[in-house]
Amino acid sequence: MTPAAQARADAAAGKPAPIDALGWARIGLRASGLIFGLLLTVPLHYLWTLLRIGSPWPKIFLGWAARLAGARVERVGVPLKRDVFYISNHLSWIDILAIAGQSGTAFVAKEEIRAAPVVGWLSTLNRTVYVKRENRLGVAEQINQLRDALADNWSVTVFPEGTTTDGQSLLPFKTPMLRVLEPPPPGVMVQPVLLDYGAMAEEIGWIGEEAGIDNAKRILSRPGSFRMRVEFLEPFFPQDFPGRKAIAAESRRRIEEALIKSLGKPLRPFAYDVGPVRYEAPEQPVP
Amino acid sequence: MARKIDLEALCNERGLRITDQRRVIARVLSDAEDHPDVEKVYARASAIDPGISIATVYRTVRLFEEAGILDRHDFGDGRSRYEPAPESHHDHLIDVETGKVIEFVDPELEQLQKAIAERLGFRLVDHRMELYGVALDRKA
Repeated sequence: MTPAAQARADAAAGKPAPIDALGWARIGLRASGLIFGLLLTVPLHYLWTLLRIGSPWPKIFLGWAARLAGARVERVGVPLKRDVFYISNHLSWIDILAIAGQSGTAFVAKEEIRAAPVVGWLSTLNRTVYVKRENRLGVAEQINQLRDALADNWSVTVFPEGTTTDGQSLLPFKTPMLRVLEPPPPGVMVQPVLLDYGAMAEEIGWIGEEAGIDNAKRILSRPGSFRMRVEFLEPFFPQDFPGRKAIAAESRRRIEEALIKSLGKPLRPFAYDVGPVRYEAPEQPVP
Repeated sequence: MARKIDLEALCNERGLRITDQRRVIARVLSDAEDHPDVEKVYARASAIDPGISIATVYRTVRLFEEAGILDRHDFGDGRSRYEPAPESHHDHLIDVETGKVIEFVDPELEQLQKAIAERLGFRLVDHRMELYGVALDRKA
């Protein structure tokens, strides 16, 4: 096993990567950059919201955060700006920074994220639509939330794999989140997106037993930058593929085709079995 | 191939409401000789009218396609490509390296296709023929 493969396997097994002094210096520098970005953009965002003008600041901050994390994002294809549902593959939290940095989109996330320190607050600022897994009765309410987000933020992104991979596989798409497209809101198109970290995909991917904080430390202590491509694929009209299963299948087909083309080899079966949310909200005291 | 299909005139014929933006897109499509995909149409149309969004281009080509005045082709590169629906039939040869599309008609081929359908017990009503190739004079 090469040292890189060993490091990959260790991280996936939940062993925190060793970080030397230089690595800690990089983490410190990047964290300062993030805090600086927040101090600058959050007040501006509140001001814009107060004045009821569309705020570009979440997009600017998230794009800046992607850059700080080392991603040099290359956009391929033209993103539809408004009334679009992006459906993307998923490798890392960097995905969110990169897609939002390119398009200003809102996201769909699991309810647990809302309670996560700092990240939950930032997600809410970016108009994240939170969904509960157990809340069967709340489906209608979730759909309304999604429609509102589309009306408000112009675009919403879903990662229907439900978890992150190492970029060498594409998991089956889960479809409940696509209920909002049954029937499709008028004028909304679906645009599949391929996130492509190239040769870095396996190192970047947040997989296996790795804790969120260990992943963040591992990524933020890396030297230098890496190229990543955000490829906006050809969109389609959801009414041409009626039903969420058909929409999911068509999106997956297009992403798979683009991923195979980019890898230049067949996809491999995903070797890691991981839960969809790795943040556990603390138990609330029962009143 | 000497042909110029005026999509704008066809829109009028079919009773499609023609807005300024649709007119620009129709003209770009009528003038194109390279079977452009939507992104190319968008680039050309927004050079004429910067107010056109790519979503408008998608909606307009869909409208034209449904009206039967625009043909959509899938040449295997993941992007749909368009040409004004031709009055006379032709086939396509696609250069797989450059994506360039060459139109051709071959009477022998047309005849052969008809004969094959008949041999299988059918009367041929339509076909699509796409050849994929690499230019012979291209260095390996």
